[in-house]
Amino acid sequence: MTLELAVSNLSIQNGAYRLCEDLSFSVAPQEVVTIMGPSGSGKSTILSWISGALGPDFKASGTVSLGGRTLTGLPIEKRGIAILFQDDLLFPHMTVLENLLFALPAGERKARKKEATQVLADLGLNELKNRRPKALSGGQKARISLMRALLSRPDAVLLDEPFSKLDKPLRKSFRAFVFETIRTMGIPAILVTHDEDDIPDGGRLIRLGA
Amino acid sequence: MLRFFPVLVSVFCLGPLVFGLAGVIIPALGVNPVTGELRFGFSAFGMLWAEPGLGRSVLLTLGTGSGATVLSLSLALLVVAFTWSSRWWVWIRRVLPPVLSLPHVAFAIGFAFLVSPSGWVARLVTPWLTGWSRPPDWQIVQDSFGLCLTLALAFKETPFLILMCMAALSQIDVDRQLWLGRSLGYRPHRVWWKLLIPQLYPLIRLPLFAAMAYSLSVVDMAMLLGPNRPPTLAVLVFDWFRDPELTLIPRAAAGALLLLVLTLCLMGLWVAGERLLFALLRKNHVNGRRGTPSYLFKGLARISVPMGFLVTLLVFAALLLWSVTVRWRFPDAFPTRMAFGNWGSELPYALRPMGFSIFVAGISSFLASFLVIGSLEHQNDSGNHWPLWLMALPILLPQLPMVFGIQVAALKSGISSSLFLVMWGHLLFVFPYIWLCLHGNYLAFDQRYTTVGLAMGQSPLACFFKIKLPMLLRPILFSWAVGFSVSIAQFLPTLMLGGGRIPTITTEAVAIGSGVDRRLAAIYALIQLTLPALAYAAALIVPRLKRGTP
Repeated sequence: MTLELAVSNLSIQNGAYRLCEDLSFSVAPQEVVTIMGPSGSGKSTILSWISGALGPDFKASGTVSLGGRTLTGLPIEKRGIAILFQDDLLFPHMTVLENLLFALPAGERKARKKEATQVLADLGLNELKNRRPKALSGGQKARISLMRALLSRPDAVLLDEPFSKLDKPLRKSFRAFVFETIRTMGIPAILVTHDEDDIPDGGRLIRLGA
Repeated sequence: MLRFFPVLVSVFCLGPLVFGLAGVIIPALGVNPVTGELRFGFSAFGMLWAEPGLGRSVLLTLGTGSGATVLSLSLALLVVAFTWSSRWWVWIRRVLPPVLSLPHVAFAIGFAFLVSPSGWVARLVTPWLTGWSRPPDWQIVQDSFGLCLTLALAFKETPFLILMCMAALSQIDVDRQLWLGRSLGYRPHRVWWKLLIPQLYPLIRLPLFAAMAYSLSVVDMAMLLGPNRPPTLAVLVFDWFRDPELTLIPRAAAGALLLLVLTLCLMGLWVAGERLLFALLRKNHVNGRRGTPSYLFKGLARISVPMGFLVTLLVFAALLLWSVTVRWRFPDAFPTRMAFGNWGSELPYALRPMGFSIFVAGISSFLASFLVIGSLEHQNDSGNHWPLWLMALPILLPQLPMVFGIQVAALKSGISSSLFLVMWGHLLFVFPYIWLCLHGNYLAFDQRYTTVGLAMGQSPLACFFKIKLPMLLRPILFSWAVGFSVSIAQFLPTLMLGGGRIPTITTEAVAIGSGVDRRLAAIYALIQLTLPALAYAAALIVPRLKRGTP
């Protein structure tokens, strides 16, 4: 089931400083909407609010819904929204396979392991399954991090500058991989970036002021 | 110049441990030049095994030591996991320094005032709840199972472990991992259980072992709250050391060696246990179960924080009341006559021990801070990082055998008990605590700030004083305050290395606390807790006076 993500009348304030006011937009399944703006314009803060992780220093109003279900006020773990940061944040005390198993929903042990192994095989990284994240290259970590986020079967995904720390050739191929994977899964995604090259072809763009 | 620091640390802070070990092993093997016995043998162990009640003392030591360690670790992790980033957490950060500043002996005296059958808690509910007209004949304090001692030790170790967790968590990206784990559908406590505690635990293992070694070999608290027929092994051995009969010294040394072996064995068992547990839990961590709400643990964590603070406040209040009491008969809830006369008559006698305490703590904590900062700078400069366990070694080994060994080695070298030796002994145990508190902040410091300063043509020394020191002022002062309070609380090194001739507030508090005069004990306990409290207050206030300190 694929659902539309909708943000309505969002206003966020940090003390006397207004980050955004009355912002409304929706993201269709398979679509990647990009939010751009200079540093400090509140791009990542909007993702925090959508995810339910906005800190107590901020004052926010507005609603977020997914397929008509209102998410506002729900804790992070009840929203079904995965997030991908600019750092891979692979758990260092777990192997690559364990990182993926952590994300998979509970179920029969063998079936879960088979699914995680299949994902690694599809990425061509099966031989790395028992390695710790620190033994991987930047590109390998980035791909596994994305697959881990998606293995939890989210209804939407937030991308917080996930390409900014990658070098140029890797950045291009990883970008294509991310957009293709999201399209295949048929879920809505919001991408935050400050680089116009990151915007998917024909994708919608929301610009925030300074 | 920085290259001298490893030498200084080796000579002053680690070297004495070698002499300490030798000084306890050689007499334990029967060599006792004082009595003319120069042949190695196992007669000391024969005397030790023949000691009645030794087995029970060993069991009590293991029970209280491991019980307090398990309890304090569980409570510390529970509090951290269930209060992180809540308003409770902010509150804990605020109240932790005063709670930490309460010395073990002062706490033990106040705790006994609270929980004994004639204590304040019993008085507050008597007679309307209990119907008692006189205190019941219950042995709550100094109970034969060591439960009171275990509880008090756990109570004192928990804030220390929470502080160590705070320092360790600065090395883990907790907030984003928590966010990530929750975005994958896990409840916050499950993220802690499956993701964060497995990363946190290895970082606090050393402080935990320090707490374990302390609990196993504690003498002052055990004399006040522990059982006495028989006492714990540390108290038993301490009594043997004080025996004027010199031919019995090998028995004491053998006992001290047994304490050392027990501590190392328990640590070995603990490591084996944690490996087994982690192997068993590995599958549980990735089984994908997101968990149900844990109201029980959440409630427990949130009750234990105010309860802990309440007990600290009650201990403080009980000490204050007893210090001004003239008459307080059971079952009155409050004293019927109060006056400051107790203070007026005792303060002149307390000035000398206070002076010694402040002098020794001031010098040893300053020297230890200097050595720690210099060594950390040397590590940054050279890239050679000394293993943390080596730096923490003086507090990972039980204190009694080490101090005894150093005393023996000092006497053999012709160094008699003196203020200098006491200060050296304090330095030995203050240094690791300051290292544990400061090294995390040093590791987390972004060296690029210094590089920017150097690129502007400033000298390394100028960069240190103008950039790094102001930026690290808070943690440095806090670590110094921890070191100062550790020194104030030292009992064994003061008594044994000073040959009983250097009275400090702590040695006096233990001596008086073991007696029957509650008024006097309260006065000394209050003075003992005031000194570190002043150091913590200074550590909090000074950075605020200096504008621009982050």
